[in-house]
Amino acid sequence: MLKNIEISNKELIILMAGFIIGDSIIVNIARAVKQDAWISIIISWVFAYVLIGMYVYIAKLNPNKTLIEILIDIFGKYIGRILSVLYLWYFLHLSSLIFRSYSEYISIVVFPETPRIFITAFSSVALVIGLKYGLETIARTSMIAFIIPPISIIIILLRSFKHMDITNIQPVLEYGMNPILKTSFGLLTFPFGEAILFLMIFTFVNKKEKILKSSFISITFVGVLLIIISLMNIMVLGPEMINRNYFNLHRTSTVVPGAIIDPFITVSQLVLAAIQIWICIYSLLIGITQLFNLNDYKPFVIPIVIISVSLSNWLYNNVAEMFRIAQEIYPYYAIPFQFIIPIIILIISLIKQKGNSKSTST
Amino acid sequence: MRTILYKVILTLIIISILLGTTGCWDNVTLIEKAIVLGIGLDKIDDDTIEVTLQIINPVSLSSQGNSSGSTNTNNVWVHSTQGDTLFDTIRKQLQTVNRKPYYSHLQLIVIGEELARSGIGEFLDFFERDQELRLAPNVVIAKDTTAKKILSAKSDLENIPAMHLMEILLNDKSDFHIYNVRLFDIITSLNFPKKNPTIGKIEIKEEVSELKIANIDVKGAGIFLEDKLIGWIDDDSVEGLNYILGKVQNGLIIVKDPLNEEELVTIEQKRSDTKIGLNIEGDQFKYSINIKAQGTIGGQQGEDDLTNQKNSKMLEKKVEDSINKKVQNIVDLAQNEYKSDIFGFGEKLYKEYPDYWKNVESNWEDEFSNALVEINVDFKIINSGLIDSANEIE
Amino acid sequence: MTIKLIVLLIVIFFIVIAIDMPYIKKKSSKRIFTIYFSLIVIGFIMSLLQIIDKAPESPVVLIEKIVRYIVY
Repeated sequence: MLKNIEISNKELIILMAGFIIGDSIIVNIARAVKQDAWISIIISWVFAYVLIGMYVYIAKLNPNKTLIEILIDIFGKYIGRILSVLYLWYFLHLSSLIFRSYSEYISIVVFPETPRIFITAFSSVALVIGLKYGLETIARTSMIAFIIPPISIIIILLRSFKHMDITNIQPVLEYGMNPILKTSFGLLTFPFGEAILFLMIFTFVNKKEKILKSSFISITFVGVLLIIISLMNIMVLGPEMINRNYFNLHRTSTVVPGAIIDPFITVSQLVLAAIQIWICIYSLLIGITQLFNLNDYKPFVIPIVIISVSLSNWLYNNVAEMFRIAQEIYPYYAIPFQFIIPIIILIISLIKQKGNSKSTST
Repeated sequence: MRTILYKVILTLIIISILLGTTGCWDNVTLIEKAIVLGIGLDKIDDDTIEVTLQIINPVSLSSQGNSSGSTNTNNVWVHSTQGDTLFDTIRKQLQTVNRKPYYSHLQLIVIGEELARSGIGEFLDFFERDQELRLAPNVVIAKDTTAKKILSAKSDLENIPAMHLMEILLNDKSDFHIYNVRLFDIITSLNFPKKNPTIGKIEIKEEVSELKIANIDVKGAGIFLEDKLIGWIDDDSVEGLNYILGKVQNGLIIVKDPLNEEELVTIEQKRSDTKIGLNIEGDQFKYSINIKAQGTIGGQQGEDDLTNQKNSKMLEKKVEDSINKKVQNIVDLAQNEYKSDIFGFGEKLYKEYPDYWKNVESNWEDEFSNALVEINVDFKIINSGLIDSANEIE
Repeated sequence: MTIKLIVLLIVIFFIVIAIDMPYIKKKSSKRIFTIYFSLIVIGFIMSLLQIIDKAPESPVVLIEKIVRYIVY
């Protein structure tokens, strides 16, 4: 039953783009380098092609297998299963992180009186319904909804043109390349490296030859959008405000006199968070079915979402912690999941392939 | 699966989604909101401040229909409260205002002179943190009067006085003597070390029992050192300041006719562009203010032909001198009398030569005063309206 | 206040189980049943502990300790 699901490459592009952008606008770790944030983003963007290209290559070497299946395949039943559980934890944790950052944003900016847990809980109901319907529904809904974020950004961009001051990006490289490189590394893991999750999704794409191209189109879209947003924020707000404000894009939209445009951002965030959470939980569900040799994930949707929501509340005590951990801890925590294990998989897959071709030629 | 249980659960789910995601918890309907358009801050004594809110009175507005306020009794309601900190003084408003103040449409912030002199920094914190407040409202300082009085003034043209005042401020594009600044600009000025804001001035020109906006003057500006008001600058200086900051576009320049000192010519400037350059020679900072503008002859008192080559050039020189003088005026004031960097020269140094800035930052007041400032004005008269020479009255 | 929340939590879980019941009955696989109920129990305990403020330190604290040890 699992294997009858199919999504097209167009849907893959949108899903991947929406997923990667996700909550990176809310939890923006490039803030640390103030007016050079855009440089950090460009650097991490370039490396993202390499990183994600590696993930696609892994999928090519292990056709029609999801990440969990690859892990069991390559590392054997015991270690493979242990690593799978670790990855399932990573997917769950990531979904909780996004629930948390999204509901913190809504709680601080939009609904200050509503208790945050209720915001999370009510948002999750709609997400559950999408999951129960399946990946194809999620993909199609995302296709339609994903038009909102880029249009919102364009609207904000046009309105804030007059208020942009290009000299705000000066002095360039004020603190040197070191902080910028450190932040680039962070940006590479969050948001770009999270695309490792797509190793659970690639098996559902109908035209597998086009996956690399689709992924690169996604990355290009994400990079351009993030750079535009970053530059816009820097030029409108100036370096000091970038660092002091939690939510730069929102602040930019309130500085522009005239119409109130920040609701656009709120809706965009909803769409992006939804896509990202969907992919996280969907990967988690598929992983569970594969780990336990079941043939359907649908019964587990609600319990998993409840655990995810509950975990999101448990994770931190306040917003400051959330930002701090994202900045200082998350990049390193993600290394095994996004770099170490995938590289090992890559090497072993290559060795296996060589082994196979040798045995077929003899 | 059309059991009753199924339907009940489905309904519950739909209701819960609607309840939770559309913000019903936070729901404050429009009727329950008091839309604040203008806010005024005054200092009463060392510990007390007074906050005045100008709130829309929707009942009165809707009953008047579309009439533009000639019988404008109470389209807005003005109310003041006193307290120790800004937040709690505003909360006290709830003791009289029956609705919760809603600031997202705030247009104007008026600050009383006394409060401005003792420092506005602490109040800006409230404005920055609150999520309903946008940083876009315009700010003015009330000279020789209180913000409370200014906000109580009535308008003959607009339903809402605060909007009227705000729109006057927006005329700064066409009148050089108005200085308009947003809350955002003030906050960023204060953020940057040694950069000081200038805020537009508002004052009562004639005292009458029922104060109207027609009795109020919006022009001139107040100079600040950090967050404290230290002095006022007059119209000409404001014109110079507007030129330096590149805030002028369309405005009038009146000069003496080059051929006849007794008569005046009115030039209408169409556009202008200011570029500030910075050069460092040894220890000396050299700033250059380069203004390029163009305009047309709006009117002349005399009858000479000012459009021929020679006369035109003389006229342009007169205009350039006039602008030059005004810019020089404000530069002198800022450097010598007030020692306050209101132009952002320090910020420019930081952006282009960050290492130099690090060295002089702590001493910037003196460095700023000693910086050499060169002013270059280039004005072109592009046409003279529909006629080329004045009507010779014979 | 907490009592209200606990009651709300129990009600939610009953609703959830009621929604999923027909689905689970159809599957009638022992595995699915166990996994489902383990997940429900985990979710319930996590939420309950947080409501009554007896939740242990979040796993993030553990992760932070490990990362700080290795990296810094």
